[in-house]
Amino acid sequence: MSAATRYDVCAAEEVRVGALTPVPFGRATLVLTRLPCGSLRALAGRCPHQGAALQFGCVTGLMEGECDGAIAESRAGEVLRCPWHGFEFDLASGEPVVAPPAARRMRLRFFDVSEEAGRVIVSK
Amino acid sequence: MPLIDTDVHESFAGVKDLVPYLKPPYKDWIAAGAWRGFSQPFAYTSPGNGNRADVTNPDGSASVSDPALIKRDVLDAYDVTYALLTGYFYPTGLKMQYGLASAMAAAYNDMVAEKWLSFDDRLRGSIQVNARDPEAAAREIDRMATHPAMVQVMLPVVDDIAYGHPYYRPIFAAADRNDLVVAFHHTVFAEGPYGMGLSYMERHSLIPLAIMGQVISIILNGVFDAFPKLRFIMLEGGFSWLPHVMWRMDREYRQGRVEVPWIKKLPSQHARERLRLATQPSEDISNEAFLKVVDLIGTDELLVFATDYPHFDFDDPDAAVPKGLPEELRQKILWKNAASLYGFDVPGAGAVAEAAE
Repeated sequence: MSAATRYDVCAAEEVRVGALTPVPFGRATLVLTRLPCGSLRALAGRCPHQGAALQFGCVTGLMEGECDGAIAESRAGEVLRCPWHGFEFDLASGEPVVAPPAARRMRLRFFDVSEEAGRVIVSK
Repeated sequence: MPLIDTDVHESFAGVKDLVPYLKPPYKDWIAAGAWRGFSQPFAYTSPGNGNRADVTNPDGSASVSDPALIKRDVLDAYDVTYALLTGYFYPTGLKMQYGLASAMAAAYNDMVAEKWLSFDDRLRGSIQVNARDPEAAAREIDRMATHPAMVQVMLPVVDDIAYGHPYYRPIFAAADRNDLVVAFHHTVFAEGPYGMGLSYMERHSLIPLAIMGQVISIILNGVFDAFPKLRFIMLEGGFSWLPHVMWRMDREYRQGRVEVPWIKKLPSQHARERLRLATQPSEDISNEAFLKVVDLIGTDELLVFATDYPHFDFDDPDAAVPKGLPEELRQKILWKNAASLYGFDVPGAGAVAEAAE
């Protein structure tokens, strides 16, 4: 097994909680964000549903409620919504908030990412 | 094979038949002819004027008022195990005078209990309500649910506020606390998205759209989530459209769940678990097409059989469900799924007839 290649993609301060930071990654685009706990996320820039550019999506929380009209947000900064259809993805796990259609895999693709000396390093 | 018919229309000869059961002041109103009953805003085009032409009432009304006719034509003719009486007199159609409408619903229920449910122990009843006064409807449900043969609440398809609106929630709460099924049936005032059409044929083709609207309304407004044990049956709306509605609702749910997070399951999952559709009026599709639709619905426990007796678009139990379907599927449609829905004890059927949880 060959060692992963490490790529210095941007300054750590460019990646903020609640924001999406696109960075070039070869011929593609990676989208970076930071979870409220401080962890970084680096994900493939295209939505696993129909390929929308996720950098134009939004980071939000998980909307929950038990009865009509009562909506509460939890886990702020941990849910990504696609810029086209609004599908929700859990930025902690990569899984869609709602189960995918039958026979469809619909999970965010995460890359290994770390913060070293003020730089964001993505491994592939 | 046992047979359960989920849609048989009993009626009365005229609204004055309710007089003995009505409370004041409405008893005097109806006795004096202050209101002559509902009249459909269109003409029938079938040879029997909306009925099977071999089923005749003295007054030509489109539902039978004689229990002996139902016994002869349905219960005995097809050796029916259970038949669900669904009425076709829906006081909800009164757009005003809610007190009168609620009183007529109660009177009609008492008439059905006395004249019909006591006539043959294969008959089961639907509690009629005035849905436009949901609190009164809930009280009526509580009152009639004590009758052991009353097994469901009947909600007639309305032409304005669909049943998912919170306004109607007391009705579902009453059905839930009394362990009743909630049935929906079209009406002479049900409309498609652009009205009733210009011909009877067009109006009849639009009825499934009215039913689809109710399915979408009750699932996407959280009725299934608010009452997690409640079960629902759609009558006379067909079934071949359900895959589309499930796919569409699921897609919308993935896109827009953030607005209605109290809906906890995929709409299709709610439908598969607790929605049932009666097959009538059958669409004469092939065995192969029928099996494809069942496969696309994703469960063989969703369809139940109905004749719609005595109406002209009657489905014959021996002809309407394709003979070429697998025997187990035919049995599920013709009786097992309905037995499970209503918790009917079917002689010789064993545990399969236990109520679904």
